[in-house]
Amino acid sequence: MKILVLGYGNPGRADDALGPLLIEELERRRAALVGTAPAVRGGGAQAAHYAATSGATQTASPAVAPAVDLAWSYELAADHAYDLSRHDLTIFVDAARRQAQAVRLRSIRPSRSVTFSTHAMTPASVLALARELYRAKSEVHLLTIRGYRWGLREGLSPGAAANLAAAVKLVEGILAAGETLSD
Amino acid sequence: MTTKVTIGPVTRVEGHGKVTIQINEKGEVEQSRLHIVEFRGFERFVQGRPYWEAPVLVQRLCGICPVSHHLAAAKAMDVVVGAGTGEGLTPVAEKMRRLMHYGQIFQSHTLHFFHLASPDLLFGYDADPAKRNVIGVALEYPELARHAVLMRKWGQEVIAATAGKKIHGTGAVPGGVNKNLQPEERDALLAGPDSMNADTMVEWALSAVAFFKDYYRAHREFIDNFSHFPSNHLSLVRKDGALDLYHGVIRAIDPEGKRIIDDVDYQDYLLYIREEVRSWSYMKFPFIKTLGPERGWYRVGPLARLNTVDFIPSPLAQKEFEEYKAATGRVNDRCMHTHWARLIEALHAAEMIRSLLRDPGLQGTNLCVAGPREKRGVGVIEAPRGTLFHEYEVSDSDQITMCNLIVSTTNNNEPMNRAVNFVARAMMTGKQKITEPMMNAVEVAIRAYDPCLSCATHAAGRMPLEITMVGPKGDLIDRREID
Repeated sequence: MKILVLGYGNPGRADDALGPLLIEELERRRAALVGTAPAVRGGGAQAAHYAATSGATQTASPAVAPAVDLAWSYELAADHAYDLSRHDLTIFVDAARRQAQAVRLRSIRPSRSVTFSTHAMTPASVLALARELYRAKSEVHLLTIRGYRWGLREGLSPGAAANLAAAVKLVEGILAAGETLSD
Repeated sequence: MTTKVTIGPVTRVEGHGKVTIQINEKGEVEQSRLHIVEFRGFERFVQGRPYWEAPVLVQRLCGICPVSHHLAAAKAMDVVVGAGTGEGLTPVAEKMRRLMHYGQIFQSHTLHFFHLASPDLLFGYDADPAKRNVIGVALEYPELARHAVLMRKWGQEVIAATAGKKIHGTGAVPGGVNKNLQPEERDALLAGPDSMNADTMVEWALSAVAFFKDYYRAHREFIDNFSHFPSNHLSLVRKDGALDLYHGVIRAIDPEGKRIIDDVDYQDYLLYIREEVRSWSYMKFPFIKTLGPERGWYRVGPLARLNTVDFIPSPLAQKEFEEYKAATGRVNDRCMHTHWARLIEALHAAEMIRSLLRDPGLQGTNLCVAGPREKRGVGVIEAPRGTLFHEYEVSDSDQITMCNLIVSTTNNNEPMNRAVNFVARAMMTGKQKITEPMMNAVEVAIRAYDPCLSCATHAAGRMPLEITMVGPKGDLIDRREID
């Protein structure tokens, strides 16, 4: 099964970096597994901050197999429909302002409605586009991680860092199972 | 009685914006203003950081064109490390940066046309919003949509190959680049999978221009008259007058085509350009110093560039440029023609990428130069949305002590306000209710400039569209919100 984990958010906007940081953490764990230097992509001071607050960056993870594709972006756009169509399972990872749980995973159904936002698309609209253009049969889920600070600054809030650690464990469990998910 | 109508945030525009339209007792539009969140916080954000971090840090300004900020900062830091302005780099460094930049222009212009412009053009700005969007385009024009997705993706691959990765690349460093283009990277771009190769991209870019020209023939009245008003135009141009999106001298022309800034070195931009602060907007209003704020405001971006340049140095785009000029005249001030100009530039970018990929100089190994340190550097580039200024001062201990950015959208602040006013007067005078087509007409005028209003945090559920009508005493008349 081909799996894509795609985080999105702005690393310069405090807890909005949760999606990208989850991807960077998985990359580090994969790098530790194969004995290469940790691959910190674009993390800089923020990745260092997370490393200091979570204490979880040197853990090798057999679940993050090389076949799992990891990527992050500032926002979702039309070309992610192409990426999604080439995977059996896609997990989008985003920060959330309004949710009770630290981490929430839910399945996504295609939606043709576009949000009143920007060039950016939602996971549901990316899935709808993938279905229309590529007849994609991918299973798609959205993992949202509760954040608390959104200003122009680097570094996660303490609460967000703890939530990120929980999210990493959850995703590793999914990847270890290597199966499709149910609601 | 004066009624205040507020539309905000502006949909499908990067970041947040809010439009306020004041209607007087006669029911006429008295004044229109576009309020925008600005980047001032970011200029402070980089202060105190080592100068070599700037090209990476500033990419956090924008999720759509981070490469433009990356390269503008790198160009400024070239000056700081004594590598000179533009021409001082090694040939491989300049070519790698150009390749990166053309990849950025290509993906950004393609995304704008497909995602933001084509729904309005294909379905009409008064069409049902449920249909008038990127999914609607995919349903009714799947071939166009598939091409656009792969064009955007290919542009991203060009960026990844030159910057090291698609997001937060590190390819440009003060004084040069940190990598060349490996043969396998070159070959992947020249002959990638699923039609993602240079020849196909040029062909599809040409088709996109043809698509717009067909549309123009059928909807000339709308395209010509939707929003137009005279203005000055400003951009970089190559020293011989050619379109050059990476480097050049500053040229500005007035509404009649007369040069008002005549090919000057951008290190001296403060001699020619000033910024005005207005109480109602966080974003400044730049203007040409000699003309003052009332007459000195100017446009930047594709429309402005095709007004300032004398020719385009790639054959297919030059042919399209000649046809465009023959149809639009010496100085073009019609907002919707920006889409046409943008597609010609996308074609030019595709041609330049193809040409560079075939250049063995990209496999060179002399990547960086340096010379005597300077305390100040200015980097200017033609970003997809227009001229982008980065200025820095650096202390003897290598820390950034001052940063001033004039981003493309700031340069277009006054023109966007004029565009809103033009459309509001045409569509809202004498009306009692704000309809969906009226709202979108205002947004269509703004979107022609493809503004990047700041890459605001976008965590789920944070971007409602709010419309507020307020009476003369501040009393709420009506409000609509769409989440």
